[in-house]
Amino acid sequence: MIRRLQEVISLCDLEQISLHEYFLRTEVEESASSEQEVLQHMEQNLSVMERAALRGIEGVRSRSGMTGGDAKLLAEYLQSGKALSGSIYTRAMVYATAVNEVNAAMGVICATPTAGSSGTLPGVLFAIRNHLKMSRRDQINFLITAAGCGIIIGNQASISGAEGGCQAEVGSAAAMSAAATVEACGGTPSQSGHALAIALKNLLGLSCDPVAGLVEVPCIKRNTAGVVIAMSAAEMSLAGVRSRIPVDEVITAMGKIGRMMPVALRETALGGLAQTETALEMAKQLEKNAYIDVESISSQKE
Amino acid sequence: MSVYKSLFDIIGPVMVGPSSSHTAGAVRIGLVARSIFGATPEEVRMVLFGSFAHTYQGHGTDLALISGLLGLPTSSEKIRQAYGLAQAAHMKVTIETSNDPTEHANTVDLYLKSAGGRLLSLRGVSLGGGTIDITRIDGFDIHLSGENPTILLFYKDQPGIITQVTGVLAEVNINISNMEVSRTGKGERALMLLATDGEIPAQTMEDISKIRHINQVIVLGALNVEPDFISDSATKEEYSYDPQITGSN
Repeated sequence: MIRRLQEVISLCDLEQISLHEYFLRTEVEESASSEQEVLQHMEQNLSVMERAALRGIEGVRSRSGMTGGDAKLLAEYLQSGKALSGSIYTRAMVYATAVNEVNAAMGVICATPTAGSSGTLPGVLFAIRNHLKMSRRDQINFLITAAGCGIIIGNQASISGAEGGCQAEVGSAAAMSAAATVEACGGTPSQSGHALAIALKNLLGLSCDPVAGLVEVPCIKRNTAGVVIAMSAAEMSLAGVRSRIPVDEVITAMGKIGRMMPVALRETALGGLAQTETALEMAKQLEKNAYIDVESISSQKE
Repeated sequence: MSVYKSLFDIIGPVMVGPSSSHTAGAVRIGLVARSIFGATPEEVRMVLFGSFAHTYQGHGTDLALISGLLGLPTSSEKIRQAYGLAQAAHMKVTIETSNDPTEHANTVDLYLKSAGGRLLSLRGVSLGGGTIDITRIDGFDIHLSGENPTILLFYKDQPGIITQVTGVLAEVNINISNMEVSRTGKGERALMLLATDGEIPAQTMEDISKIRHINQVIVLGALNVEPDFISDSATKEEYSYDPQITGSN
């Protein structure tokens, strides 16, 4: 059982294979599934992500009334041609927001690695796939590389907000996305490792402090921002920028930070944003009416 | 401990939102509890700890546990109507929260009761990303992820039982991937868990149940995480294009 990403990178270099080839081979060896079955399963998950992205862009609303409709706004903004960060980055933001809004609305999504962080990875993939002319199989490979990196992060640190805060969820999602993006762009396994390290470093310490305990605020916007962290890390690494701290040490640091975090900042809604004046007001309203009237609360504040 | 083994522990499960640990993980705990119990219980008492206790309403953890106990998959849009479904299935549910410390943040104790008075208690832990661990069954400390087919054997602690059981499995060429034994005391009640690589034939189970001192045999299939709604090819076709958002690169 491989625990460190650096070991995988060295093995890939030695055998002259890519990360997705390594992770696919390992999956086939360690599960009862054939290669065809693994690819098919991953393709199904990809379809679920596409379905969620499309549904989110049409505009959804969560049951609490707290979130929804932002993917639609971002899509309209993108279409207006005014986006400063260019079409690929803004597209990634649209898709990430869309998928996570669907999640908040109790729609069907694929966890990547968790439901709260289910927007970042498809956000990045759907934004780059046309530009890079990625085939269906390339897209499945992208998911395999991301998943393999996620296994290593989960086993060395955590992918659970209750255990490690948001850094373990959106942080892991951005790190996995960065590594897979580098591979999709033709980078080496080592460059994927640097991208993963850089992305994760930029999200270390991020707390999990969801308003009213719901996976909505700030989760959705963190997925939106997660794509930008992921893609900037991938670009740094592709440009030749290297993480000064080796990737497995960054991953381990994330796990340690998680264990040092007070319980109040680990998905309990007892600290951080969840305990702000407005958040408490929202939580109160939710308990009373089972619905949050966001407009009335924010108009009082303005 | 390596919790995550498969690519699909990370990219997956396919599920209804909003939380893989608080919703999908909870469905899966309910599913495993249901399959150990072997039926829809008539009464269920749930005690939630840690983050489960603090945020279960927002995450729909209660809906998820009930749905699992009713046998719904993590991807079912019916999870939202869990209370109505429980009523229709004549399953009475009570929920309590506890401030007692537990080893993991997302923990639930389930107490199931059948119409005939049969009881089962178990502790489920949601580890993140939908991965779960059943850490206690009827007072026995064990670990059960539900990922592999597993045999549960309740028996009276005696020398030679393990050899007899593994002997039966060896005869039909079934590989044991993981094994665990827990007992209340020497010569007292014991529980053996055997995770296997392949599904176990009915005849083999019958042979095992005939072994002396074995009181109860339960066979669990691997948790089915495959969503049932995306098998139609029309879906693939419909969504195989890039969502139409224009803008020049």
